Amino acid sequence: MESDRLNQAESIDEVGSEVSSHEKNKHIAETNTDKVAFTLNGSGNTDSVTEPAVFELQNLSVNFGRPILDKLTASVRGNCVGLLGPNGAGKTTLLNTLLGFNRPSSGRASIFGYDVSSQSDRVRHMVGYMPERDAFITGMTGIRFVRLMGELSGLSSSDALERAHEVFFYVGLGEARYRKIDSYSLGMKQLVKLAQAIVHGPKLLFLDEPTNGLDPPARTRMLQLIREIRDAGETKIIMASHLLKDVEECCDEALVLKQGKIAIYCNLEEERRSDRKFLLMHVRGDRDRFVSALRSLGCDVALTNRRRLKVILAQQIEIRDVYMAAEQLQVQIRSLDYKRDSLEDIFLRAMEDA
Amino acid sequence: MAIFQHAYQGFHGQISSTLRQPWVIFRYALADVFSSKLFTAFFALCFIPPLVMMCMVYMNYNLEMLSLLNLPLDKLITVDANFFAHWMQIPQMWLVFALVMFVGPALISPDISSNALPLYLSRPINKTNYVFGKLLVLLVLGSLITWIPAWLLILFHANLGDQPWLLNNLHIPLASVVSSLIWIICLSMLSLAVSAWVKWKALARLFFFGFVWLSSALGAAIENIYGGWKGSIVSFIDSLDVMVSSLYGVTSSSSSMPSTASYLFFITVTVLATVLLARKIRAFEVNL
Repeated sequence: MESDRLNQAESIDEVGSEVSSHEKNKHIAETNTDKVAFTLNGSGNTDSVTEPAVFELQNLSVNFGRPILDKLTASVRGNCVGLLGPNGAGKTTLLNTLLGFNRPSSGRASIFGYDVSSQSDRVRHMVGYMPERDAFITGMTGIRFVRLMGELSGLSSSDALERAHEVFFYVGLGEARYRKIDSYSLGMKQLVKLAQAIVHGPKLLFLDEPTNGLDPPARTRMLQLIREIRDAGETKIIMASHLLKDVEECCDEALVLKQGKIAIYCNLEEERRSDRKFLLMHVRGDRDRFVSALRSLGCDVALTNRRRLKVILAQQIEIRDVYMAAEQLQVQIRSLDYKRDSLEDIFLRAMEDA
Repeated sequence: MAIFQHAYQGFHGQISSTLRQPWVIFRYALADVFSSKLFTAFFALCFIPPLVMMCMVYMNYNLEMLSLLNLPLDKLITVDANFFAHWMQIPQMWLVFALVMFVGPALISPDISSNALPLYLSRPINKTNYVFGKLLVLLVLGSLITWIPAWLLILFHANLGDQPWLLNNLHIPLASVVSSLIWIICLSMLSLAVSAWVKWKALARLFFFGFVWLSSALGAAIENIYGGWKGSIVSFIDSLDVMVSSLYGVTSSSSSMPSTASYLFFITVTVLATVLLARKIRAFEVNL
């Protein structure tokens, strides 16, 4: 797999190789490249990691008359991975295949090292699943429903009851737990779906569009819960969403699919870190000396045109140091902007590149 | 993660084996079935015929009571294989039909219509365990009103009568179990399959009822037109009578169809229903 690893730099725009250090943590696959493998952990470290991958795909293909997933190869180790892609890209199919609902037509998929087809029992003991669509058992009270789901996951009857009460209070529905689910609002139903998915304390949680149909406060609450589960460190999360903002807020990595292939796999944490120190400046004065001064401070500088500079600040350098250098050289800084390379930019670029 | 600690924690307790899962499904489904007062009343009524039979058997051996009630001895029913087959077994089988019609469609169709199957199947439970858990409800309830009271009645009769009677008629309890299980499993699988395809339980009940009775009506029509026993091949009523009669070793009153044909009929219906059910019990429908 190491031999397949692609560490391709992505240009932010026309800056080119001068800002290549910024792209080191970004791993891009081209859609026409069939055998592309990625190995990344939550911190962006590409060193080999001893613990098994959260999920691993090896030439995974799924066909329903036509190819839906086309020879996907990836090894994902993040704590919370966003699954992105336009409609029909194969997000739900990938999720369903990892859950063992779809049989791969070729290749294999594994979760924590267990094959999803041949060791599905083991896999299903470890996963929790929050489906996109409403999924309940009609006529049941919330607590009974979640307790049943707990028992089906292997908890004893008393443990399941205890955990059902706990997760109901955890998601904030403690007072409504004896009401029938049919009477719940849409936001409450989403929370019950989350409750049933975590009742057995899964090692891996699949969330399919968890904020679908939620109003802003409910959405904020849901994202907060997801972040808390992630930060508790006991559960890895795979979150499929078409809302880039949700993925950006919760996930540390994003896997973008397009037409059944991996378009891009990036570490959002690294993106955030690098974005913070990415400056776009308009200057007037002795530009060349100013550029030299910035480079002597350890910054990467790209010249975009006669007056515009792109600067990636070194770790220890603050904006104040840039202003001081400008003052010393009598250079005017006419404008200074943070250039934010958001997930939306990454997503759109992946769609274009692919 | 106690309820006062609003922070997420995983579960670190004991996880049971997957063999327990059908039992969990059975337990919850059974509780749902008995949450209906109408069904509970119906189920209680199903025990009245065996109790009446028990009284009849008792009277057969109680000459004092017969003389007190002035009942003529020659009008008493002979307690033999024919009695158990046609007075006990077949009426109870039709009560099973009513029970399956009431309970069967309510077991699977709500899960499908409310999209609960992905929740079941994403857990350590497979299609077979899921269906078996649901089937177990019908199997247990059906057994409670067919072969279990029949066995009690047989033991009661054996206790009151001559001791060698049971030894000489061991095929009767066996016939009771086998015929009951064939009938219960066939009807149960049919009702589960119909409810899986129709999804709406009221409509599924109607389809199930229609399927059983219309097939019997069709069989009767074929017999009227062509004569012989060929119509019985598609008739639940005739097939049941032939199957029960052959197992009890008595003559069928409704059809001259060979017993093998009746067994084939039940096997075919069960297999077809299982195939149809297997196609519908899946986490997601794939629409191309």
